[in-house]
This record gives sequence, C-alpha cells and structure tokens, in this order.
Amino acid sequence: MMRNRFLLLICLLLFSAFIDSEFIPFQSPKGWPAPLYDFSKNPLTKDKIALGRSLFYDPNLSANGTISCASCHSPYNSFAHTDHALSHGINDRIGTRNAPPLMNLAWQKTFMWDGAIHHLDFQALAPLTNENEMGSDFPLLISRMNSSNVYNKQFAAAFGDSTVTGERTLKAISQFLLTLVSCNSKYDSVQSNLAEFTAQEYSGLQLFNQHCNSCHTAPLFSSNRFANNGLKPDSILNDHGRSVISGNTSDDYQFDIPSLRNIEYTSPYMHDGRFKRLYQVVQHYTSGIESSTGLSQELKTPIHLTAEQKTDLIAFLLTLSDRRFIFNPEHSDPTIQKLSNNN
Amino acid sequence: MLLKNRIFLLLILIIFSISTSASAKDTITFRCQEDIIPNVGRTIGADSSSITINTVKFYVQHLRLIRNHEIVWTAPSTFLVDLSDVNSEDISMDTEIKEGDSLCFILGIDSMTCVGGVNGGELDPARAMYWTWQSGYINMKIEGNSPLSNARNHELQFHIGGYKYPYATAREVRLVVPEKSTREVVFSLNNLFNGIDLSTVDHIMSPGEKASTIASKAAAAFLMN
Repeated sequence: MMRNRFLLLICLLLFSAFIDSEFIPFQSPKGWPAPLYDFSKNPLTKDKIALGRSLFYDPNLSANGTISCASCHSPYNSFAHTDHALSHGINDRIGTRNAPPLMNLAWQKTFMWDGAIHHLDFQALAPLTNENEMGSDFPLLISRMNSSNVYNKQFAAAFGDSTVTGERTLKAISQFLLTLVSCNSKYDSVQSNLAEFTAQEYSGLQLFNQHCNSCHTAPLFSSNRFANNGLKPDSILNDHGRSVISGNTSDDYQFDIPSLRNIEYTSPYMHDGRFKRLYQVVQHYTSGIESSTGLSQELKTPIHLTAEQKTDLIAFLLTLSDRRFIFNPEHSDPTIQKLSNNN
Repeated sequence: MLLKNRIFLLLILIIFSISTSASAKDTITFRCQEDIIPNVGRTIGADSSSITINTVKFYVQHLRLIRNHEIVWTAPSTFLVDLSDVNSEDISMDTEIKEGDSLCFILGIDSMTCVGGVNGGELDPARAMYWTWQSGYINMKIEGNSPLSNARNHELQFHIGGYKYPYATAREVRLVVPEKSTREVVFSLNNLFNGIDLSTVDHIMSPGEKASTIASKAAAAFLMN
C-alpha cells in the first residue's frame, strides 16, 4: 500500500513536470484573420517564452553590453522608442530608421520598414548584428552565451539540454515576440459590445473608414503592403526603402504600412520619425503630400478635412490604445520584476 | 552464467560490426583542384593578374546518387563544405558508387528551405552563412585578393546568395562518375575565375545579376574524378 502511494506520488510529480513545459496554444482574438506564423515549427512553451523574454531585455547581447532589444523597443511605448526619431545603438551610434512598435507580429508577413526580413525567426539577427544597433558578431555571441551558466540553465529548461545555438536563440526570441498581442483597446471593446464610442470618436471612425482603412485595415490596422505615402525624401538619409530590397525602381520610396494600434504611445511617427505629434501626421495626409509618379494610388485624390474632423479622427485613433498591453507585467523586464517582488 | 555473458558480448560485437559496415560502403570527398593551404590560400595565375583565394565555403543540399534514372542514395542532411578546412570530414554513404552513376546536388539552399523559419545544424545562422540585413542564406563564400581588384587591400569577397526570381542562386549540379573514380568532387578555381573581370567585380554581397552569374559559373566549375 505504501509502495502504491509512492508510485502515485511519482506519477503526480512527473505529470506536473510535464504540465510545466506544456505547450501554450496561441489564441487568435475573435474576428481576427488566422495568424501567418507557423506555430507547428516552433510551438510556444512557458520556458521558451521566458527565455525569449530574458534575451529581449539582456544588454549583454550587444557588442559592449549596453544595448538590449528593449533599449529601442520599450514596453511602455508599445515596444517602440519615445523621443528617438532614429534608432539609437551602441556607442551612441544612430541608425537610419525609426524603431517600429512590436505587436501582433504573428500576423505580419514581412519585417522592417523595407520588408527586408521575410520571417519573424530571422528578424532579431538584423539589430543584433547591425553596427549602428547592437553590433554583435552572431557566431561569437552564440559561443559567448554557451559559456554563460545562466543561459545554459535557461536553455536546458527550454530545450532539454544546455547547448545554446543560433536556432534556439532566435526561436526563443520569436516566442516572446509572438506573445505581444494587443487586442484590448477601446476599439476592441466596442467591437465586442462592451463599450460605446463617443459621438466624436464615432465621427472619427466614419472619417477613418472613408480615408484610412484601405491601407490601415481593421482589425490589425495594417495591410502587409508597402506604399509611398508622399513623404518628401530626406536628403541626408536618402532612403529608397522597398526598392533596395526588391530591386524594382517602381518600389522607390515605398515603406511598410504600419499598424495604427497603440499609436498614442509610438511617437515619433513615419519610417524616419519625422513627426512628433499625431496632429502633424494628419496634417501630412491633408496638406503635406508630395506628389510623384510612385505616390500611392489611395493618396492621389487629396484628402480634405476640417479642423474639427481632424480632431475627431485623432479621437478615434486614440481608441486604439491598449493600456492592458502597455502595462502587462508579463511583457516587462523580468529582472526588474524580480527585484520588485523581493521588496 | 559466464558463458551467457560471453555470448551476449559476441552478439553485441556482431551487431556493431554489421551496423558499421552498413553505414560506410563508400565515401565522397569534396576538394579544391588547386589545393587551398590553410591560412595561406592558393594563388592561381601569375604576377599582375594572379588571384589568391583563402576561403571557399558552400552548401551542398539534396546530395543524391542516381543510377538508371532512379535515386539509389540520398544524403540524410545538408552539408556545409569548407574547402580550406583540412579537417572537414568525408561524406559516408551506405551505397557503393558505380561507374556511370550520377552524383547530384544543389549548390546552395533551395527556395523552399529559404522561405521557412530558422533551422539548426549546418543551417544555423550561427554558421555565418546567413545574411543579417535581409533574409536569405549565403549559398557560397569565396574570399581572397588579387592585384586586379580595385577594392581596399585588393580584396575579393563573393558572398553568393538570393532565392527570389529572377536572381535565384541555388544551382543543380550533376556529375557523372567516371571509370576508376577516386570519389572526389573537385572544384576548380581556374574554371570559376576564367572570364570574370575582377577589375569591375571585386565584391558581391547581395542578390542580383552578378551573384546569379557567379552561381552559374561556380556550378559549372565542379567535376568528378
């Protein structure tokens, strides 16, 4: 009898260990399209997500130990970078583009303003190794991580053995990034009949549907496409955008159409961060469009809005703010959280 | 009891010998026709038009042996071949190579593999054969220098990759096994560089027409001894 109980206990222990590393199903919000990321190739687990989160916040992944992914992708800015028009890397080096917010990446087809990266798993390679960002040599970084006891332990928990590889590192980072789903804005509550728009927000919605939704399409408020939105090219950056990657001159000055979710938190705006305020963005679309042959078809007919309509439109855009996402403790720096738990 | 143990040992030995003989019936060696000396390289041509090459690395994918239009052996994995590495291992086969067989492989990584997520083993981006600034494997790295190059330190650096139309760079290579074959797949630097104007092309680091041309020339620079 005693022996039986012992066996049962062992079974229970084994079972709970199994539960611990259990796969976490990815939940697509109601009414959203199916995610594009193939989760069968990288099934989410608690330990892999935790590992990815540690990696995301670790400045030791940069060449001089000062810059982490989170340096330019802060959770409190929906993982964008307040006040920095262009990304800011090691040794105060400045990049050539604005760090975009990170959210709902499972639905994103390509990454970067020019779509240079075709799969989320490979995305982190670019900032990790770019000399103006984290400046690391990837093979060297992986071998350095392999001699870190902390990472050996975390990789063992996540992958069954302690070896750090490039594949595992990138898959773990993908896992954390995939959990950054923003779907709890006021807009979403209204969709679920849990809230109502104000008259001003509703007027803004009408204007949005008329002038913006064809590119910034709900519910993701993006469309996985590139467009020339009539920004006058910056003469110093001289950034040709998508055409550098595609090789087609017809893609000149086209950039990724970003999601507008959490736009309240993601200033400055545009691929080069030229606008600090949402009002300037709306002004651009109503009176700042630079005409060219490559200009997006949707913008060839001028958009006219009265001052009141502009305010209404902005009021609607603010309903895309998701405070639960911004302050989700599961998204923040795990080391800081541990410290606060000790207090 | 002792006898039982001995029989058991004998059985293990027999199983072991069978398994080893089954796993290595033949081997294939990749080498450079103009042997590359580690840390020194190899110079081809003379004086002002000489070319010194110290790195030749490439992916070999879907390596297979074809006999009478049928695949008789397929490699279990993708290989990253480094012709400047004297310690690189031969590729073992559990099939015997015969005269007239075709040894086929893709020089590089096919587009199906390229569009998927991150891979491990030889395909791990930590092998430094994956571009970081845009997605895609570097199918082949050829590095060295030549007085013909107008680049800094007369460098030559060809990182050949790209998987999208019209500049896909993975190339199918098909080699017929000759009589009394030495099982060596030989890559000829002379054949590769013959006809390439190094004064105008010294660096290739992105997909495009130049990369595509070098990929085709590289695929044609293989022969089987």
